[in-house]
Parts: sequence; structure tokens; C-alpha cells
Amino acid sequence: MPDLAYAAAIVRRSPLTVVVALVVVLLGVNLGLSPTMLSGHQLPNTVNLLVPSVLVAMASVPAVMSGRGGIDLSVGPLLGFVNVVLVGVLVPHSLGSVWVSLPLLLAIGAAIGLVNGIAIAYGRLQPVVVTLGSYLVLSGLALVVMPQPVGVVPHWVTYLSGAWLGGYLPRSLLLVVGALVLWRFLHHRGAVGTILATGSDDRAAFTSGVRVSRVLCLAYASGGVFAALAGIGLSVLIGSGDPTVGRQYTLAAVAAVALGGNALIGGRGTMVGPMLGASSLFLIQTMLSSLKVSSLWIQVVYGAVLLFAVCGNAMLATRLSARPKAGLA
Amino acid sequence: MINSEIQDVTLETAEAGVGETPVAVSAIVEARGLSKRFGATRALVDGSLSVAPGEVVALLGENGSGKSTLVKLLSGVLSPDEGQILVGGTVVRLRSPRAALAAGIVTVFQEILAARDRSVLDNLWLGHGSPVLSRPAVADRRRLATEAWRRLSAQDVDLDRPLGELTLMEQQICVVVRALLRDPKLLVLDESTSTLDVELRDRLFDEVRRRAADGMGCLFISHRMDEVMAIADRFVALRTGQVVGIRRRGEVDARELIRLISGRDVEAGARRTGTGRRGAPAVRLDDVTLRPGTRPFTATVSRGEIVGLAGLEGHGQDELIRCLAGLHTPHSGRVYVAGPKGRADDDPAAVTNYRSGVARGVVYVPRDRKVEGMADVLPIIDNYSMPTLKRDRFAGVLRPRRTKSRFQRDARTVNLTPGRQDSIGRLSGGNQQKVIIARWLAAEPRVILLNDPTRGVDLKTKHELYDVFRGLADAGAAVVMLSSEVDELVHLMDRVLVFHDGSLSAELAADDVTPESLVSAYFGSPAVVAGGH
Amino acid sequence: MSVITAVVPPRIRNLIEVSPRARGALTSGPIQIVTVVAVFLVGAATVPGFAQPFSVKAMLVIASFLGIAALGQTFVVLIGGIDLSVPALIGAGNVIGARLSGEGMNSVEVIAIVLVVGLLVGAVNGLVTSVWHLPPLVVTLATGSVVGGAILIWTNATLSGSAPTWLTKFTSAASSTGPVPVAPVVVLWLALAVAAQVFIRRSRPGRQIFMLGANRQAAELMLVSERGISAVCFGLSGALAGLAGFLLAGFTGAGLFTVGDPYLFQSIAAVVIGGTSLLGGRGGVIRTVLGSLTLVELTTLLVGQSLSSAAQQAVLGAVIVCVTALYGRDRSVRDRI
Repeated sequence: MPDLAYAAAIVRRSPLTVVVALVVVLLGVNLGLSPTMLSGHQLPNTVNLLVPSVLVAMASVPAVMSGRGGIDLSVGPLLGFVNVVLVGVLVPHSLGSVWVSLPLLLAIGAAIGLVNGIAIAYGRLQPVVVTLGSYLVLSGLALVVMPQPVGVVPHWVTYLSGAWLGGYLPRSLLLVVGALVLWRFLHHRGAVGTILATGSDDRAAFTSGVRVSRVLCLAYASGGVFAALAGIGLSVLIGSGDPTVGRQYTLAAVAAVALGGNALIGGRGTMVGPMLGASSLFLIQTMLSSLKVSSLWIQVVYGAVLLFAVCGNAMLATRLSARPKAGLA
Repeated sequence: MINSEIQDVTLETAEAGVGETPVAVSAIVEARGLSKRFGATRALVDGSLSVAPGEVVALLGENGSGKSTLVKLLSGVLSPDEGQILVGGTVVRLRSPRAALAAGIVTVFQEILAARDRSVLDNLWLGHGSPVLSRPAVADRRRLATEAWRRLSAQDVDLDRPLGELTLMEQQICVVVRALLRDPKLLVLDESTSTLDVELRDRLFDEVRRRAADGMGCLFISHRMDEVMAIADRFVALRTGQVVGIRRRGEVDARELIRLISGRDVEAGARRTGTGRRGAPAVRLDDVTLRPGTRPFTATVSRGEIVGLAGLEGHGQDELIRCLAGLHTPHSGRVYVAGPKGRADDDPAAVTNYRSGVARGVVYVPRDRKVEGMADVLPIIDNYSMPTLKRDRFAGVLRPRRTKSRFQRDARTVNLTPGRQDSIGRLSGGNQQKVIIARWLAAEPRVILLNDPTRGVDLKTKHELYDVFRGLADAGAAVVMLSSEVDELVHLMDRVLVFHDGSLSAELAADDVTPESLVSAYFGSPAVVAGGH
Repeated sequence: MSVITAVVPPRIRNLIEVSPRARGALTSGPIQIVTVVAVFLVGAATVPGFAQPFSVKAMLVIASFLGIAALGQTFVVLIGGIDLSVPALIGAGNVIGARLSGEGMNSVEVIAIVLVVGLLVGAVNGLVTSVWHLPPLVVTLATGSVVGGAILIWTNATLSGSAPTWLTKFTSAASSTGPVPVAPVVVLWLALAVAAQVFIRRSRPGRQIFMLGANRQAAELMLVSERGISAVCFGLSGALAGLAGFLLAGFTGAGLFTVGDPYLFQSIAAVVIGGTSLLGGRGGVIRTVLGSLTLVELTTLLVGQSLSSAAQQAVLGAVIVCVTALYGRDRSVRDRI
């Protein structure tokens, strides 16, 4: 019995409980409905659909972690902008080769994230306002660069849409792996810990010698890199340029972060949670379409799941945060 | 011993108020003529100070005397308007805490500044190195952290637990250990002992002495005279932003230090006695325990008297005053506050919750003005009128003229002069407190609960507030006031309830309240109180 | 200030302005008034026909839809929240209004239903956020998604219903309100703004909104009910969004579920440009009226510069950030120690 109680405590303490349960259930239901979903034949399509959502959820994680109302609403348009720049600018100027375009796109993502970070950290502006501004700027710019969906993606992007091992290892996963490697690197170097510490209490971080403004810039810039990878993922998925599709990813990303159990006030959270959150949103969609439910229902189900998950997380968290009262020492 | 000469030099010049201080070659850190103002308030004027290797300097002063400003300047949080800071004889500009840390000045701030969501280990090493360019050596960090922790505390800690799950005392240990891990040249301890128990405090002092023997300097700030007397080699006293005296160990006793800090000569005989008339009991505590396992106690407060609550930080007085306000529930026992007729009847309605309490005239002035007491972006008038707006309605519409006339009346009572549209955040601490008190005057209070209302309030305003409190009591209110200031307890209160270990340990009548009797009661020895009188 | 003095009869003016606080809100916000005038002058100078009576009337009509929705958003922002369910509720108001009117229901009843739906959804937002202390951003995103989805299902994602004929006239830039040569919807907007101003200045809950937004903990100790005030603010936001959607039916002719989409960020932008702080506790509804005017003027100006809608958006984004930089900065970490 004590073991059970211990396990129960672990489950209750983990912010991942809700989302892991959600993914397991949804995956089970999905496999029950269409057992071929994970077959070599269908897997690459499934994964290609999933990759941009997962990456864009990852992109909004560092900003949320960094606290003080941190959020990055511009990740959606940024992903669209990267897609448009790749197809509408780089390819026509024969800069589409992987060695030129990939670093360039990642640099664009980092630079835009950095600009957000500078306005927030040094300008001391509200993250919502700054990233709302860049949301509009980027969606506008994407349309200026490419008024209509056109164009073709370079060869290396097409290559990423395929799979190895008879379809069981979709190559678009490389983008997610790339993002995870970068995140692991930041983790190893202590950067993630510093971002979280800053989000938890920026005054403590500041007085301990953390350069808080730089940390915020790092958070937003790394988010920008993930968004750029998501943009490449989108290019893999649609195989062309589309200036309007990106922005709809923003709200899904926020939803994925909240579903994943990350506190929107910052300081706490994981990278895995939002990735699973994005996956569960995706699985809801596939489940509904396998059930032949009208696609109109998706939005309602999304909203309801999000609401319940956030309330569930909040109730678990209030039990957790019963901190020792002042004066009991 | 070599240092004493230099100390003497510094001492003399500072005493004489000469700006040109000769370079104290061996001082680790020296502050010369530091000044800082916030708007119209001069927080620190010409603050000079030096700490030699191996020396523990106590910085003394009341709240608002400029201590924390000086600490913030030394730790790089703020930059001085004038003056210089020298480290090892060279002038440095401490633009950020990072720069101060790099210069070897490590500060433990008054408030526990820690990332509560992060693990103990992360907190201990917060801010070391660069988050991208260097890689933390986790195994080493663990070992060093455990070693440093064991020097201070007999109990080990799980380094991987989130810091927010630790007790307040463990959190305090954590921020002290974090500072020690930096191998400071100058360790600044700003009220870092207030949540430590005696055993831990002694271990901390041993550690400070051990490190001082190796050449570390320490700037020690505490309100507790016994601590200051136990550890400091030299005392620097600040009053209203200025250095008013520097004394060496052995030259002075605690009494003289207090005189130096408070400038008491001016205030001698400022005792405020009321009419002495007592009304019916308005507050009654029946066999109350505040925490599990503490001794139950019984007490009453009558209308017309001012009763002080005192004790060392965290010994139960704060919980009690919050219980009376209906913001905290006692562990057991019953609390009656202002029943239907304002008496502490055995009426269940007298067991209070905050809102119903206010309706019955129980008002509470919280301890932390910024957090609980006011909204600093809003004008004075809003901060004044918010809980009593109902009175200004006519047919559902607020009449600003009514609010205004009410405000003018109550502002006069508390001697508040600023215009009502000014934002409250721009006022001095004292005037802010006046607004908060005026706010509750409007609620026609029967029981007034004041949680350390004069913290950070300057001397003049303090005395104005005392007059207001006395006036309220004379008008028939029961006033319960938590105070951390000995002076105030001695001069204002009709009775003082002293708390120790979560329970009432001594009840002193006005004539028995002396600094000595209070301090010994703080440490839980009422016997001494009786003998000391 | 002069604008208001000119339009509003003295007795009502007295009611709004006798409070020096209200005067302070206007005089401390001259930037907003200057911005409205300056953008107008730039437009008049550079865009042919910009200052023509008809285009001014058209701008006012467009501003009134935005303005009504942004008025609601202001209440939420004043308590430090944000309402992302506005577009869904605009869509809901639009579709419900057009469908029920198309089925021949009395317009008074239709408006009542629209308002109640908005009020209820908003109140749910307010209660969920305050009871569990959840971020309004996520909660309103979720409820907005549910409402928007429900409307989609109800209408099967098609254009449906029809606006009553009076509404078309009510919102037409060519019509006038009695002797006043602007569309009735504009008058309605300004009347609502005046009512909102009276509410926040001269009612107890109105004053409590500011206290709650400025300091939640202190507000609780000053007898402000966090749940009550949150429900009121989000409720008003929902109801006004619904109303804006209903009025938009006069413009769109039929019920269109996506009609609210542009208002997600526009309503927030109007509030922010008006100078209400997203941190809560600072700002006001008259500022949002000016913010809505500025935003519509800017858009028209950018159209007139023959910028594509894409470029307009980009410029708008930059403008929002720059404007907030003027008065919406956070406190530095140094000042919080």
C-alpha cells in the first residue's frame, strides 16, 4: 500500500499527468478506430502533419517559461514567414541549397525572436503587446513577399517529406530531433535552468548575478529558432509556399503549452508536456475524422478539452503549492 | 590588531563629517560619501563606511534610516547619485549585482530572494558562470553544496527538492549558503537571521567568525541587539539617511547604541497615556492555541486601551492579529471580536471572518503596505474610499463630493496634507500609512488591528500616528497593535502581550514595560521580567 | 476634451466631468487626442477624399463596431485580464441575430437573447479565471473555441439568416440620426461609451474594477470581490462583443460566423493604443474610444496610401508596439527589490 501511495503522490506531483493520460487514451482510441494509422504506409503523412504543430508548441515554451507574463504570439506568423521566405525568396534566387537556406532560415527565426526579446527585456514592454505587434508585422510581411500560395520547395525539403525503413521512420522527424538537440544543449549548459529560475523569480535571479535581460533574449531567440524549424516542417507538409496558413498555429501553440501542464506564469514546466499537448490536439482531430464526425465539431472539442485540462492542472497545482506558512520555522 | 589604527582614522574622519577620507589601504570595501534620493526623499546622505579584512561591522538604524539603501548600493542593485565605492583600494562602479558579486561583495537580502520552483541545488548555484558558454560541473556542485550546507545546519537537505517546499528557515539557510558558496570578500547579511533559530544563528556566527579569521569582512544588519553585540567588532549607526556615529566594540553598551540609533534624547518622556477609562471587553481569546502543540492562552482587550503584541519574528503574534482580523484560523480555541453590540460576547457572530468583521467595525491595517495595503498606481482618494464607497451613493450613483468631504475630515484627523488626486505610490511610507488608517477611520471602527503600522515610517510621522491611535482609544475603540519596535512598545502601550514559541509568554502592564523586560520576555523567560522590575 | 464639451449637454457633462479624476483621465491622455487629430490631418493631406463628409461618416461607422467590442475588452484589460473570446462572441451575435431575425423574431427579443448569451459566456470566463486563478488568456481561448465551434455546427458553416431592414439603415454610413448627420450606430457607440464612463467613475463596482486591476490582494482586503468584479467585467465584454456582432449583421446582411475574426487583435490593439495598460488598473473607456478612432483612421490612411492589406497589417503591428512604448512600460527589476 505505501508503494501505491507513493506512486499516487508521484502522479499527482507531475505536471505531465493530465497530458500523458490524454495522449495514451487518445492514441488507444485512434488505433482502435484505424489500426493502420501507424503502418509504414500512413505513418509519414501522419508525422508530417504532426511535426509543425509539435515544433510550434516547442517554440512558445521558452517565452512562457521566462515569466512576467511571457508569451510569444508571433510563433505562428513566424513559421508562415519562414515558409514564404524559403519558397518565395530563397528558391527563386537559387539559394535553396540546404547549406545556404537552412542556416539562413534558422538565423531569421533567431533574429526575429531576439528582436521580440530585446523589446521585452530592455524596452520593458508587455510580451503580449510586443509579440502581438510582431504577429501583425510578420503576417503582413509574409503576404507582401508572397500574395498568393505559389511555388515549390527545394529538393532537400521534399526529401524530408519521405521516410526511411519502409515508411517507419519519417524523415521530417529530423526537424524535431534537431530542436530537441538544441534544447538538450541549452539544458546541459544550464541555460534552461536559468530561464526557469528567472521565470520563477526574476529578482532572485538578478540579485544572484544572472543577467536577466540577456536570459529573456535567449529565451525568445531560441523560441524563434524552433519556430523556424516549424516553418521548414510546414514547407515539408504543404510542399509549396502559403502566406496565410501560419498564423492559425499561434493559438494552437498556446493551447498545447497549457495542455502540457506548463504554468503560464512561468518558472515551471517541461518541453515534453507541450509536445504531448500538441500531439493530443492532433490526435483529437484524427479521432474525430475517423469517427466521421463533422469537422465542424473539432473546434468545440478542442475548446472543451483545453478548458478541462487547464482546470485539472490547476486543481493538481493548488494541492502542490501548499507552501509552508511564514512564521512556522 | 593592525587594523585598529586604520579604523581609528576612518572613525575620526567620519565623526568629524569630513568628506576627504584618507585611503584606508587595507579596507576590503569602502564607501565614500554615498548619496541616493528617490524623488523628494533623501534616502541616504553622504554615507561613508569601511570594512577591513577579518572585521564584522554592524550597520544599525531604524527602518527608513537608509540601511537598505546602502545595502542596495553596495550590492549593485542601485547606483549612487554621488559618492564612490572602493574595493581593495580601487574605485569600482557596480552597475549590477553581477558586478558586485564579481568584486567579491555578496549580499543576503532581507527578503528571501529565491526561485521557489527550482531545486535547492539550482538555487545554491544560481547565477554562476554563463548559461551558454560554460558547462556546470554538476557532481562538484553537489559535493560543495552539501559541505557548505553541513557547516550551517545539522540537518541535511534533499538538494533536488523544489525550494518552495522547504520551511522558511531552510529557505533562509539556502540563501545564506548560496552567498557563502561565492567565497565572498565582503559578506553582507541584511536581517538574514530573523527566521533562524538560536542554534542555527550561532552556527552562522561561528561560520562568519571562521571566515573572518581567513580575512573575510562582514557587514551585519540586525534589529536584535543581542546578536549585534555578540558578533560585531564595530558599529555604524544611521539615522534618517545619515551616519550619526561609529563606535568600537567595548566602547559602548546596547543602551547607548539604541540612543544613538533612535536619537532618543529628543523623544525622552514622550510617553502617551490615555484617559485610563476602560470600556467593555471587545476582544476575547478563550483557550486559544495558534499551532499544534503550543500552550493554550486566554486574553482580553477592552475598549479604550491600546494593547501591544510583541515577540521575535515568527513567534505567533502575527498569526494572532490575523486571527482577530478573520484572515487566519486558530488551531483551537475561540476568538470573539466585537459582537453585535461591540462587546466580545459569547455570540457565534463574534467569531469573525474578514468581511463580517469589517461590517461590525473590526478593521485591519496590514503589515506589507505595498502588497496588501494599497494600490500604488491609484490616487489617494481611491485608496482611501474603496471599502466605504457605499456611503457615497445616492440612488446608486457615487457622489464624489461626499467622498471628498469625508476624506477631508479624516485626512485632518491623521494630519495628512497631500492632494487627494496624487497617486499614493509617490507618498512617503508614513503618509501612505496615514491614508490607510484614514480609510478605516471612515468605517467607524470599534476594534482596530494594526500590524506593525510604523514600519518604514519616519520619526515625526510615527509620533503623529501614535497620537491618532491614542485618540482612537480614548474615543472608545479597542486598539491591538503588533510592533517590532521596543520604543513604541514602551511608550505607547497600555499593556503588552509578548509571544514566544507560538504562545503568549508574558503579559506586561504599562509600568512593567522596559526594554530589558521586553527583551527577556522575547526569549521566553518571564521570571526574569518579574525580577528585572 | 473640447470634443466632448461640444457634443455633450452641460448636465451630462457635469456628471462625467465633475470628478477631477475623470478630467485627469482626459488631460493626462492628451497624446491620444493629439494622435486622433494628427492621423486625421495626415490622412486629409495625403489621401484624396479622406476628409470628405462621407468617408468620415464611413470611418465612424466602422469605428463604432470596433469601438463597441473594444469597450468590452477595456473592462477586462482594466482588471489585468485579456479576452480572446471576443471574436467568437461577435460571430455568435452576428449569426444568432441574423438567424432569429430571418425567422421573423422581434428585434427587441433578438437583441435581448444576443446580450444574454454574451453575458453568460463572459460571466463563465470571469468565474473560471477567478475561482481557479487560471490565466484569462487560456480560458477565453478555450471558451471562444467552444462558442465559435458551436456556431459553426449550428449554421453548418454557411451564410445564414438575414438582417432586419431597420438594422441595415441603422448601420449605413449614408443615414443620419435625427438632426445629427451620422449613422445611429455611431450615436449608440458614443452613448455606450458615456454610459461606461459613468459606470467606471460613478458606481461602486466601477471603482472596484480599478482596485482589483491594480492590486488583487489589497483589493480583497478592501472588500472588493474578485469573483464578482471578474464576472461583471468579462460579462460586459461578452455582451458588448455580442452586440457588436449583431450590429455587424446590418453591414454584412446575413449571419457570417467568421465576421468576428479580425476583431481578436483589433479589439486589444484599440485598448492598448488608447493607453489602457495591460498590467491592469490604469486606463479608461474614453481612451478606448480614441484608440478605436485612431486604429480605424490608420487603417483607412494606409488603404489610401494604396498599401496592400498585408502591408497595412505590418505597419499597424509596428505602430502598436511604438505607441505602447510611450506609456506602457513595466517596472525594472531593480525597482522591485
